[in-house]
Amino acid sequence: MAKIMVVEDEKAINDLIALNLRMVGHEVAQARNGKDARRLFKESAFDLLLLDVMLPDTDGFTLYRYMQTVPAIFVTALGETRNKVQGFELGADDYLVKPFEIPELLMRVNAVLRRTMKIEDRYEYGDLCVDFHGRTATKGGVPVELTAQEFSLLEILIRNRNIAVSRQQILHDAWGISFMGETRTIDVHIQRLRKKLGLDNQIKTVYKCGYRFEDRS
Amino acid sequence: MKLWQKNYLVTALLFTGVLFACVAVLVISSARINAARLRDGAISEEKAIAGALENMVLHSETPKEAVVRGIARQYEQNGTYLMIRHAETEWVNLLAFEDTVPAGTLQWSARDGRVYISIGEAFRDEYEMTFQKDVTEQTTAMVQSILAAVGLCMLLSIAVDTILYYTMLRINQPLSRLSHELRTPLTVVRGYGELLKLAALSDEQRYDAASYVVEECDRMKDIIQKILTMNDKGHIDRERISIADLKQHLSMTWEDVAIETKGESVYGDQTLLISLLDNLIGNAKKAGGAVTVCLSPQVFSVTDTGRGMDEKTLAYVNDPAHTARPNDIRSGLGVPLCHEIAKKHDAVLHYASRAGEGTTATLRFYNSDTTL
Repeated sequence: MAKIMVVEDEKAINDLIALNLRMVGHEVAQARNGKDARRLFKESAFDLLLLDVMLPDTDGFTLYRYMQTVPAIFVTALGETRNKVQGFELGADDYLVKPFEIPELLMRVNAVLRRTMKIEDRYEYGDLCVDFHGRTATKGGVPVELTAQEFSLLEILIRNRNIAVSRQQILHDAWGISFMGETRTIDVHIQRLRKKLGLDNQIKTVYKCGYRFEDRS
Repeated sequence: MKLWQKNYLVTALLFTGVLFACVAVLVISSARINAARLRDGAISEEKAIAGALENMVLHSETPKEAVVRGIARQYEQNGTYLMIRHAETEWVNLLAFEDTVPAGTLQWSARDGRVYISIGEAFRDEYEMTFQKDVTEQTTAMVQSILAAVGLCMLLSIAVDTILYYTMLRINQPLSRLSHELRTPLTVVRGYGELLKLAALSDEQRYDAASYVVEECDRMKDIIQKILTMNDKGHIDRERISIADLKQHLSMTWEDVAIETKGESVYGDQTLLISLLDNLIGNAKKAGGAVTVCLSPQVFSVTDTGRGMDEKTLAYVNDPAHTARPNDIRSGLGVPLCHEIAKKHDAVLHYASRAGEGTTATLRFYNSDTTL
């Protein structure tokens, strides 16, 4: 779980980003202008910043000069190269151009966190404990034997928890396969995972979308 | 650089290039013609002098040298300088500068800022003549006309390029601003739609997400309406609208708004005027307090007793060009649209407001054929 600040003046988009990040377990602080962002920045330590380039009282690049100790992803409607270069010169870690897709947002956030070693390497839910670093899982203290494929599947479900992951995305992100045909083989692995970990109620099948790991009641 | 700016640069360069090329062709050919005319004039003058001299030395009995000198002096007055030599004796030399031109040849030369045409001539073996004509005036006039043409050409291209730039700017700027404004609601609709599809949401979260989608769709509707209004630069169809009809329309949408009317009718586009009044009333209701609408043939006004506006916001809403947008105005599309509709009716929209006391929006028609 990382602590992330979202700076975006458009309330709807700010809420959208925050909601998504909270879904997958991050702690999120929201600011809608440069002044609030600076205040929040002074008050607590963040692992990652998501900065809108166009803010009412300043711009994201200027704001970031105060905060360069922390990795940042710029969120912008301007897809122009000039702005990208400016951001990267300041040490931006990534870029997100509006309109963006949710899996893309989460993937980029996770990628930056992984690079900066801020990503969680443990996850606990009930008596289930998953160690991403050692790639092992225990249930009630007893180790559960998982194949490499099953573990990757479990990891992508947990990393995107409360948000459905499509079968395509699982194939691609978890197993590194770009496969456009039959994706139902995943269902078998999901069944096994549910049985081995006793997660029948947590790993939900989402109509026409894929699977979703839910850790909220 | 944006696409339209590239287009502009290409167009401007092409135009300027073609203009200068045409002018260059014209100037060069007219300079050629002028130079040829000068040369032909000099040659025929020289031939005439040579003929006369030859005739004279053949037939005249008087002392030839003195007569020749006299003729040369006369020609000197008109800017034509002669050197005539008989055998090895120079009879006369009034040349502006020493210049030996072989017989039967012509040459252009420039000395001390003046331009000369020199022609060499020999006749009856023993006579030699050098003819020199000062053509500075003619060539100066030529250079001046070339400079004038180039100068005019530059002025013209600057003027046309500037007009072109501002025309393209005016066409493209609102479009790029509008497409930029569309991107935010699109991000919101797409994002929340995706969230509804993928995420495990609580009832409250689902309600909020759906509300955002609906809200942003309305915003896009406004933007599209604005694009349509802005794009339609032509004149609107003015028809006679009965004020009583207007009142009825408005009271259907706005049940708790007091509407006062005066006079019979106004001239204008009914759809646009209703859209404008809807916008004004909507904004007035958002400000809180009681809303009063007053309709008369010359003036429409919408008054509220809500929270009012500070000076910065007031300056913004009163500026039809709406350049700087204060931070607290969210979409800001309604107001520019109202100004645009007012403009189409030759009317002026003006807001008067005091923070905490309320706001009055006044639409005043100026064109006489708008009113009745």
